[in-house]
Amino acid sequence: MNEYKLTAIAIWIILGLGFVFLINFGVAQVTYFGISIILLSLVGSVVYTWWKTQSDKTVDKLKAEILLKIKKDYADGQKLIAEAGEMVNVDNVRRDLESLRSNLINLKFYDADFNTTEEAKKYTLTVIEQENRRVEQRLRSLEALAAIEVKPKLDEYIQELRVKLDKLRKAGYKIGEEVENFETIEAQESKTLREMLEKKKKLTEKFVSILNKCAAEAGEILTTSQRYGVIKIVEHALLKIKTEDFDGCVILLVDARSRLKDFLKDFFAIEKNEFSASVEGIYKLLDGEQVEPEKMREIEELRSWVLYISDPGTIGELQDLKVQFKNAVASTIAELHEKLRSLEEEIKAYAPSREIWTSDELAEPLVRRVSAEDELRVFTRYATNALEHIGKQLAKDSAFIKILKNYDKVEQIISKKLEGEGKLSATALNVKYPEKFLMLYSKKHPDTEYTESTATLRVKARV
Amino acid sequence: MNGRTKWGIIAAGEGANRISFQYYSQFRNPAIEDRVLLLNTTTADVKLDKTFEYIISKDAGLQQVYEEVKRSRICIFGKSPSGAGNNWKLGENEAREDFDSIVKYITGLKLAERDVILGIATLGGGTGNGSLPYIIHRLKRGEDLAYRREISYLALGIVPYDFEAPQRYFNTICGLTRLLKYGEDGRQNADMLLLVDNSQVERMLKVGISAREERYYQINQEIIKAVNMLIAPSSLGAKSTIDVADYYQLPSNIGVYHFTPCMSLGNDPEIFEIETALEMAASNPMAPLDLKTATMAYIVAVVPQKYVDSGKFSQEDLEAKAHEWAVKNIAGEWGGILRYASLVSSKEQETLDVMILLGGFSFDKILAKSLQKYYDFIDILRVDKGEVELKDESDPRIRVRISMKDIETIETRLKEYIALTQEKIGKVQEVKTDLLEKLEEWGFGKRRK
Ligand SMILES: Nc1nc2c(ncn2[C@@H]2O[C@H](COP(=O)(O)OP(=O)(O)O)[C@@H](O)[C@H]2O)c(=O)[nH]1
Repeated sequence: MNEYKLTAIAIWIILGLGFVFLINFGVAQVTYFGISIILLSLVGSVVYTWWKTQSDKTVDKLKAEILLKIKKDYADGQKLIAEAGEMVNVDNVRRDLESLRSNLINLKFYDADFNTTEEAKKYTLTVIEQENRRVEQRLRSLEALAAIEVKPKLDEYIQELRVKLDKLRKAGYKIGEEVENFETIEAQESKTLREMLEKKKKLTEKFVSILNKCAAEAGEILTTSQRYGVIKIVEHALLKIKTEDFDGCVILLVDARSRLKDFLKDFFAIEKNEFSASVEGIYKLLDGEQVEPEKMREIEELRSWVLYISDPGTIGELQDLKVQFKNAVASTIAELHEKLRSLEEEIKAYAPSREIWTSDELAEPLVRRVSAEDELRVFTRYATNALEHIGKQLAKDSAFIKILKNYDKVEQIISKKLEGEGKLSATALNVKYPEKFLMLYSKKHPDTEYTESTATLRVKARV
Repeated sequence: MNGRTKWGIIAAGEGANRISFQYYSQFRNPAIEDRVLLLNTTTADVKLDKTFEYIISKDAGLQQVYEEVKRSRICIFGKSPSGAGNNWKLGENEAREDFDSIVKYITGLKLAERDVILGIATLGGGTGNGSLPYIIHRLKRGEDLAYRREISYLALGIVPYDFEAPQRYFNTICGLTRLLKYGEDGRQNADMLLLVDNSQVERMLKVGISAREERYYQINQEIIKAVNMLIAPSSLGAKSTIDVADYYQLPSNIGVYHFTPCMSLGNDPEIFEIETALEMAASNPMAPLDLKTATMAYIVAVVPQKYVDSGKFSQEDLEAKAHEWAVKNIAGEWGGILRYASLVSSKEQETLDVMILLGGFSFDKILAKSLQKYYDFIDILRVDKGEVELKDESDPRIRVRISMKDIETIETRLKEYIALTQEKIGKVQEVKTDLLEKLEEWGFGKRRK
């Protein structure tokens, strides 16, 4: 409409302008004017027509896009509901979905194969957009209907998985951490059908990965067990495992674990007993005063582990603990030996008489025989020998160095006490290790002699 | 004890100044904290610097401590430009003239009722020896401190080396007496007098010959340890607290109140028993004395906490051992007339430390060397109108007059004190009385018949 009015106004303005030119400049000029106006109009209409077709095309494109979106929404909804259909009966929802589709076909939006028709373009953009909204809403309510059906079924499904996880855990598989992850996913909120189906997928994936882990664990135990004998049944069973079949898989795994446990039970008991006997025996020999607190703590920790461990399936860990224990004990022995050596150096600085003290020759070869590479029983024997000897020696030397360090003070006391009667018995000298002090005194004062049997020091009679 | 008793140290004269500076720079006994006051007579700064030169040379960090002490812990008193020299009378006069400023500093120590002032002076010099007895007397009897009567005044006097000159011994006799008794009436001055003898401590330490300053330094360290041990029984770790008043109340009543610490420190508790530590301590008295004449003994043992927890040491055990030791070693059959024992547990300490504070012992040994030199000195004095003029050996400008009567009074007072001491010793040693006979005399035995 406006196009025509605009054209009419333009013609009138041009005619008016032509008349004004005619009066002012004459015919010759007006002819030029007229020709150029005609050329301009021609170019103008060509440009206009081109522009017009372009904009018509945009509207068509929009219509096509919306129609495509409706089709995609429908397909998505259909897929979700189909998935839901695998879990529960949603036939009525499916029927409603079908009628939604036929309605769209009836409207000639789509043909029988649900492809966009040419006829659909006859509808204005507004009409198509309205239909889009309607379909969206309808789909949403259909999904909600399906979700109501799915919810209890999903809970049931999760429950089943949990029961299976429980069975696996009880069988002895170490899946505590994985089960926790599973529970985290489970705790996530899921209200829409899409969220519910998503959760189901994730939980299923997690569950499958747990199954794989259990299978791997069983495989490891099997490998360890092969040191003690062959258990073909478990070997075959593990080969048969298919993680798609949850029920079957869990049964196989639980069975494999319990067969392994049964098989290993006796071996485990023997090893554990031997191990704890060794730990207890060695632990008894460690003196808290001598061993560094850090080492002590390490060995105490190992000790409580050995007491705690009870599942024959963990026989592999028992082996690891043995290695750790042997290493800890071997390095403790090395440390104690070093301590003994430096204590001896300290004593040597006082140059005590050989009759009273000699440096230790035995520790060195005893320590050299201790090797963490040895089998536990052998290791324990050598370690015990070394610890017993070094412990005794350390106690003796620590006492002796104390005696040496305090000798000067005690010497004065002894001298004073000797003054009177010329003799002094160990009981009358109120210090620790009185015999040792008296003996040491007699060595430093040749005019005195010490009698061990009576523990008395006396001044020699002058000749 | 209500709250902790606070101690303040007042150190008069050069030697005492050194002792307290050593304390101040190394220790901080929680009872003393920084309540230390150094008193000295007007002398040039140069002299002060010289006093502490050696101690500071041991540790560069001490220069700063010295500046701090100089700023706020030294009270210079007296008007004489040359100081007291070697004249105790001059030291006393200066203190009297300038007592107001001394009191101001002492008030600054912020002591309160029931606290303790420990006055330290060397007995051989002039400044400390002259001023300390006067200061204690004024504080105790005058009106200068609001809480004076509630304060305990302990005095620590240091006896000169055996080899020192007669004038030092003249000073010693006078100072010793004036710390014991002072004033017109000659009443008790310090509540308790602790004596430490330079030569004796040196014998005990077995110091070889070394520079004079180093010898002083080592003796002073021992004196500080003794002060710390003295305070220990009123500390938190004490299993049986000995309050300061317990130290001197009975001795003051008896009229004999001189003491000497004997210590055995740094013993390995794994080796030494209390008995042995007591024996070792007793063989190390800080002034020469005859154990058998000691009538009083306070025993302090500081031991590591863990041995108290394990039961190796206990208050009961210490008391029993202390009793046993005293019976065997000090005056009388009962082990003296007065004895306390206090076990103190310490979390910081690894050793067994024992101090025996012996009291009431005979002055024989201390006076043996002093008296002859004292008389030698008196003999050469020229008496003029009942007065003598004392000159300082090193600085003839320093001179002062003392009346012979004053000297005689001092002599008499010391004689009286010694006589009383001997009397008590005699009494305690004599308690061999046949108890049965005594009972009969009182009528007990007869009634049975
Ligand atoms: N234990 C000890 N005695 C000292 C010390 N300095 C001086 N003496 C002794 O004190 C006497 C001299 O007194 P001094 O304190 O120098 O004089 P004052 O400043 O006049 O009191 C002499 O008998 C010295 O042996 C010291 O640092 N420690």
